[in-house]
Order: sequence, then C-alpha cells, then structure tokens
Amino acid sequence: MISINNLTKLYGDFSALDIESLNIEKGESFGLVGNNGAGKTTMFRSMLDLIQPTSGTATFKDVVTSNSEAWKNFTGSYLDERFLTDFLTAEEYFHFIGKLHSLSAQQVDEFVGQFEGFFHDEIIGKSKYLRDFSKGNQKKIGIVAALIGEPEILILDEPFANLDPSTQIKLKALLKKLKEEREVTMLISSHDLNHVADVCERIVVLEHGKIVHDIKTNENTLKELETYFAG
Amino acid sequence: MSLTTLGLNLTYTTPEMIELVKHSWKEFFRSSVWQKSAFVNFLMGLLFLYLALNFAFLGYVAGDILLKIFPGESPITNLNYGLLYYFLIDIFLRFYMQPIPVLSLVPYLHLPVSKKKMIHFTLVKSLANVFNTSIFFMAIPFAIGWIAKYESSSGAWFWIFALFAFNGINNFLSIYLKRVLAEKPQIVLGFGGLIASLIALDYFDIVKIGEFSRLLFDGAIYNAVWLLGPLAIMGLTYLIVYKFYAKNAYLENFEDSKKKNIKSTNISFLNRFEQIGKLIEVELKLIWRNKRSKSVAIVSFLFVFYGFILYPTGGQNAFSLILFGLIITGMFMLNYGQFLISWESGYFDGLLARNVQLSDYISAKFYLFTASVVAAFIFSLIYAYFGWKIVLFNAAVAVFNIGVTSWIVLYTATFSPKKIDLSKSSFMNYQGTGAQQFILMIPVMGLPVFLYGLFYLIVGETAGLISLFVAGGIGILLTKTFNKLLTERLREQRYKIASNFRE
Repeated sequence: MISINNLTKLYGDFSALDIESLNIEKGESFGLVGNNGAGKTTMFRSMLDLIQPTSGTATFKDVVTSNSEAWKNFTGSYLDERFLTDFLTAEEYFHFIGKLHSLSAQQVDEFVGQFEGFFHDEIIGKSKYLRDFSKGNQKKIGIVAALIGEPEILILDEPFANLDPSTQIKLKALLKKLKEEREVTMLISSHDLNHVADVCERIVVLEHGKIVHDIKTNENTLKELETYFAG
Repeated sequence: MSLTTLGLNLTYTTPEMIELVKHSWKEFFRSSVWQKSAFVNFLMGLLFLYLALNFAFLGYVAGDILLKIFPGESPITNLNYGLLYYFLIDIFLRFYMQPIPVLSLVPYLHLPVSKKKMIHFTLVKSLANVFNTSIFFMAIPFAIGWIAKYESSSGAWFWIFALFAFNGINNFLSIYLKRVLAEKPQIVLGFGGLIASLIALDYFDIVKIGEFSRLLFDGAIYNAVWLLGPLAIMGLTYLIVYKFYAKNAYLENFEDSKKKNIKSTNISFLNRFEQIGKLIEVELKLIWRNKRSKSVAIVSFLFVFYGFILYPTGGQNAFSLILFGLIITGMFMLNYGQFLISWESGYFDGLLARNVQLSDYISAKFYLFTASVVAAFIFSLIYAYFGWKIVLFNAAVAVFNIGVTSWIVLYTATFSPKKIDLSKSSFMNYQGTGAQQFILMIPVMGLPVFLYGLFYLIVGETAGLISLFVAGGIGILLTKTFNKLLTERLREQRYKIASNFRE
C-alpha cells in the first residue's frame, strides 16, 4: 500500500531523514515513535509532499506522491493546525473538505454525525471559528476532517497529544474500528508509548532520521520500548 | 492619589524597566518586517525618508501657502485656526487605524514584574507611534521657519508643547475609546458626523471652534500659562486610561472579547461550481472574517468612488484615463492580489495535503478577480456623466485587466510569498511585503499604457483602444493555457512556498 524508497532529507549537513526502504501493507496500523528531532514530522511531511525530499520517493498505491496529486483522493491526514482553515466554523470546514471529495453538505453532516460522542458536544453547533477552539478541540476537528471521504490511508501526527483522557480512549477505539471495518492503512506518530503499543501492530523507532527498530507488536513491546527510551 | 501609589516612584525604577525597554527594542528590530532582503529594506527606507522629507517640506512652505490664500494675515494665526479641526479629524482617523499597543503586556502578566510599571511603560511607549511623530515632521520646520523667526523662539517651543499635549490627549483618548467601545462602526460614523457638523457650524458662523482654536494656540505662543489646560487634560486622559488598564489587566481582557455569535453560512449560488465554487466561497470568507484582508477589501471598494475626484480634476487625456481605469476597475485585484497565496499562509499545508486540484485553486482566484473587475466596471458606468469616452476606456482597461493583468498578478504571487498574520490591521503593515510587490507594479501600470501608446503612435487613438481589447480578449481565450502554465509553476514552487509559510 505504501512504500518508501531511499527517502532522505538533508538540511545543509544535517540529515533529518534517511530511510532506505519501508513497506506498509494494506490495513496495517503503523506506529512511529522517537524523541524530539528524530524525524517523525519530517517523514510524514515528505511522504505527504509538503517538503521536497533530498532524494527518494514515497509511493501510495502506485502513485509517487511527489509526481502526481492523485493520492490525495484516498489519503486523509492531519499533522498540525496548519491544516485547518481557521476562519471557518467547524461545520463550514467539514463541508469544505467534503466538497473536495464531491460530497454534498448533507452527506457530510451525516458522516460527521457519527462522531457526536467523540466531539462530546463541544464542536457541532458552536458559533465560533476554528481559531477560537482550544487545541484539543482543534485536533478533534482535524482528525475527523481527515476521515471525510473514506480514505484508504490515514496519516496522523501526534493524534493523542492535547486530548483529554476520555477522548484519548475514544480515539483509540475509533482507530481500531477503522482498521477492522474498513481496513484503513494507518500511520500514527506519538510520544505516548502506551497508546501506540495499544493501537498499532507494528512500531518503528526513529533516531536521527533513521529506522533503528522495526517491531511487530506483542505483549512485551511496551517493555522493550521503555527500556530502549530509558537508555 | 500620590505618585507612589501609581507606581511612579522613580527611585524604584529599575532593572526590570530597563529589561522592558530592551525587549521593545528587540521586538522592533526582530520584527518580521525587517526579515527581508537588504534591497527591499533599502527601498522601504527610501520611501520613508521621502515621506518624511515631504512632510518637512510641507511644514516649511505651509506659511507661504497660507500667505497666498489669506494675503496680509498672519499665517501663524491662520494655521492655529485650523489646528483643533486637525486634532478632531486626527482622533477620528486614530479611532480605527491606530493599533492598541497594550497587547504586548500578555507575556509578562505571569512574571514578577509590577503590573503598574508595565502599564505605565506600555502607555508611555504608545506615544512613540507613527501617528504621534509624523505631525512633528511638519510642525518643527514651521515652528523654526515662522514662529521662532517672527514671534519668539520661546513661543516656538511653547507651541510645539501645545501640539504635543493635544497629540497626547488624542493618543490616550483613542486607546481608551477603542478599548471601551470596541470598533463599532456606528460610533465611528457618529463621530465623523459630529466633526462634519462642527465644520458646518463654523462655516455658517454659528459656533466658531476655529476662533477658540486660534485663541488657544496663539495664546500658547505668547504665554506658557495657556499650556496648562491642554497638559492637564492630557494628564487626565492618561490617568483615565491608566486606571482602566490597571483594573482590566487580566488575560481574559486581552483576548478578543468581541466574540460574536457566528453563523455557519453557505453561499449556495457558488455550489453549482463544485470544487472551484467552494474554494471561492472559502476565499470570500477569508476576506470578510479577517481583519487585514477585510480592510484591504474595503479600501479597494472605496477606490471605486475615487473617480468622482479623478475625472473632474484629473484631465481626460488618454493616458490618465487608462491609469484611472486601472485604479477604478483593478484596485481589488492589485491590492488583494499582491499578497495572493500569502493570505492562505496559515493553512497552506492543508491545501497541499488535501484533495485540492491546483488548477482549481488557480481558477478560483481567476474567477474572483474577474468578478471584482466586472463589478467595479459596472459601477464605473456612472462616470459616463463625465463623458462617454470614460466608459470606453474603462471597458478596454477592464478587459485588459481580466485577460492580462490578472495572470501577471497570479504569476507574481508564486514568487516566494511571505507569511502574513491576518488578524493585524492592514494600516502601516508591511508584513509580507517583498520585492515582488514593487516589481509587480511595473508591468501592471506600464503594460497597458505602453500598448496603447504604441498603437496610438503608429495608427491612432481608436487603434490604441482596440489593442487593449484585443490583448485582453486573447488573454481570456488562452485561460486554459495560462492556467496550465501556472499550475506547473505552482507545483514547482510548492515546497518553497510551504516552507516560507512554516517559518
């Protein structure tokens, strides 16, 4: 579903990303962990064609992301608040994203309606612009917007950060459901080892832009990761 | 109230005050306004120098001008007659153009710095503002060239002090009014009406504010006692603002308190255009819901009325008609378009990663420009009153604007646009200004004049006009080609633009 080939990003002499090869299967839930500056966001950004890699490519379903825009049809992503059009209300924003996937306002409303519990009454019908929502609520909006249009690939950067505990739990359930019901291929980065170990079947550890561990999740994974990061 | 309770105990001033001064200094020099190429900074420097020299020159020759208008009367007295009006208009302008300086308090509120001191500091700092300094560029040459020369040098000093006092009153009063009343348009309009009626009362010899103004400022020249009133009022306004801030210096009061009840809207007319329509709708909301873009749009709209001044006074030769036509039909396109893409700097990553076709993105902007030019042209039909020739020229320029200028504006926008903050006022705001804004003006102004001139010289006036129609028509016919070229251009530039915006 996703393959990365010799993807590197140099800033001057500094190597921010250096991945020789990585393949992610359809329906796989893939977790990315690493300390600050390890290259997680750089990896996601270069995969999503937001920065120009120094070399190499990311391929989503046979589409090289830097060559064509076709992958945007089946890819949902939310990295940070730069993805939000901050002067729209939440509904307007969802409708906008829906329109990009040729969905009518009504279809979007129905789709977003499923997330009532996830939103906890704080998003829909609130008369304010996205810029006036709290960080956590902005994140919820960004995540749900990424799901509009039934993406086959979902890329989320730090989805658990800034969320309250109940929402973190709801988000985990939501991600698991997406995987089971729709076989969505998910890439999730997080600083919370617990959550990643819980949601992802495969975890990759980045350090200085390189893959240093590639683990199939089992009952010992969390311990393994904790030992790694403690050292 | 003693000075100490106000935090004015000078023996206690102090490292933290000095720190604050240092911070303002750094804030100014590290502002993103300066983070540009040396060349652009140099151009801006020249522009400011030129403006300052203009002011100084105006101040210097003001006496001569007044002597010409009112021969045999003292220009000093005549100038003083108008000063109160000047200050009334000044406060009106400040009311919606002067920035409130106090927001910079927020990062210090949680630190062990005395609040009183910080408020004094920010209020005094607010005096160092272009609104307060520009008048002295004019006043000082006048004071030297006329008052010191024909009255006394002490009189010149007192006069300057009187201006300083009124300036201060306006400064503090406008900060206070702005905070208390928020920027309600009814109040601004009401205030404008008040000034207009005062001028009318004066004109019809009913109430002579001007006489009072003359008495006051003439008095200040002869006797410093006259300064006491204005200085006392300035002190009073300062105290009022100070007290207000001391009472309200909490975080919540600095956050945007004017959160209205916002309704989600849907411009259904645009729905039929699918993605492009939605992109236009979002851009219209961008313009209307953000301070900077909104003021750009309003100013551009006002330029449509500029014809009422331009046509009766500006002559009707072909070249001025072309330039007027450009201003009237193309102002929005130029004014808004010079920061195109930059307007979306806050969510450009989202646009790139989501399912937005770049060609749709460009089409949306092209249609927006076209609509603005057509709307302005329709309005400009009213200028037929000043001659049918005007309509013909405006039509030619409008077609040229749609077919040629719009593509130039779109193309220029892809040259390294800078991040801009939409929530800041557009007045005196140079954030996002780079070399391309200067370069853009050359073809935009020059091309239609050049084209017209060329055919005018070779064939004649009609041919000149036709050349504009034809060039614009060709541009419109080639819409698809231009769109494709621009899409490729934007794809090439996308990483650079996105990384500019992330800074």
